[in-house]
Amino acid sequence: MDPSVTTPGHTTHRSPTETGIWVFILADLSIFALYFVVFAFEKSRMPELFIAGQQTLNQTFGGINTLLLLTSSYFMARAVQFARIGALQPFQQALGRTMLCGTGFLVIKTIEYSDKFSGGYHIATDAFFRNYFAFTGFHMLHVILGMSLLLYLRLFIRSSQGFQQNLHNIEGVGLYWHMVDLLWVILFTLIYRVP
Amino acid sequence: MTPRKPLIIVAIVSMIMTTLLYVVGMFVIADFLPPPSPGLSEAEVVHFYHENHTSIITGLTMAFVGTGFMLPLCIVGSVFLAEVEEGFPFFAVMQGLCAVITVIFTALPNFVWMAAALRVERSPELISTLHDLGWIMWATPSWGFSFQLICAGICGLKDKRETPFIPRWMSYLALWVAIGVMPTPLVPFYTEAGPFAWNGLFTFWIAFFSPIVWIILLVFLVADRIRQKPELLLTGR
Repeated sequence: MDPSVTTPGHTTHRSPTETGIWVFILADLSIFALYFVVFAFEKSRMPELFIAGQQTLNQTFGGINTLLLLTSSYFMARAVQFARIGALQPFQQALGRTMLCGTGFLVIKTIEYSDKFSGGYHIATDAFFRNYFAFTGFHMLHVILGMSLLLYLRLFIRSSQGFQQNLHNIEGVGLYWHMVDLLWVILFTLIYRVP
Repeated sequence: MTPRKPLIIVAIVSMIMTTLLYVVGMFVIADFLPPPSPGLSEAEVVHFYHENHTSIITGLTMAFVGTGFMLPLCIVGSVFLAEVEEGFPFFAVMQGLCAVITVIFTALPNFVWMAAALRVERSPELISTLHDLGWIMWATPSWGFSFQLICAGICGLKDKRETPFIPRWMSYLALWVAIGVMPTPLVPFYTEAGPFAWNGLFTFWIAFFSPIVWIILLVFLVADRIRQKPELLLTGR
């Protein structure tokens, strides 16, 4: 029986999407947790270098990107809500806004990277920039993957029937997108803000 | 449906052969794994090849023979993938071809290191160059098994039955491992030990062991499933 079906007088509580996606998210979060530990460990060994590196980062770009991803997460949550009640047009609109924020994030990230490159900083500069480029780059890869999944949903769900077949997928992509957002908030705090 | 039993026997035998030959060759005899630090000086590298000349060549030879045994295992995987697919078995072919790439990039560095060990009296720069070349070749490419895992993951997720042939979390885990091995192209940026160096936490410990753990788990899950229900089809369509 589909666990989402509720029978009268007996309410089933189910967590969104399927267990497999939670396993994926847990695994991915553990990898990033290791990144954070590595970053903190290397920072504790070379505090001056890391603070000097942090001061070259553009806080405005980082801040705007945080806002963009948080906003995108809001729209993603709205999209999932609309999918659950089967409202096609608002769903597509919310998905479009999520993707707009994601694109904004990628554009700012590109500007930020090219700003760093023209300033003479690159991945082999020192321990701080190795971590900075590796971790934010790997996160950007996650954003790109998320955008591809969103694009897939946007292009292939064109009718209300699409919701019934794809509700699990929509919730899964939603969860993944929230994870990407969460990871950025931690990355931003750790790399840009923590003195 | 291809008879299951021979497939599982082939898979288990080839898994055992690969593990035995590769692990004993690389870890025990040649002492190449876990990898040495990229920060070793030229003198230290040359000294390593000088002192262990014979055991290096013996271990590397065993290991490259072991990599050949990965192929039957991967092709068994393709047989299963082809059963899931409709029309031309794209994922089965893709997985099989990428397996060839994985085997080549796992075996080829061994010959480069053997060349370094062959004439240890040659100039130290050449030995350390061959040493670096081998390690970069060994540690940097990961897209071969990334693609293999993505193929397996996608085909696994096509099975939407209540009791799928392999648990769906295994397929999601495959996709995660495929992403987890992606930082390996950062290896050539590290001339000293670090998290993304060729002996690093992410580019060796996670990128090397997570696919291995996944594949061993998969073989056991599949063997167990077939033992319980020999006639269970791979797909519910």
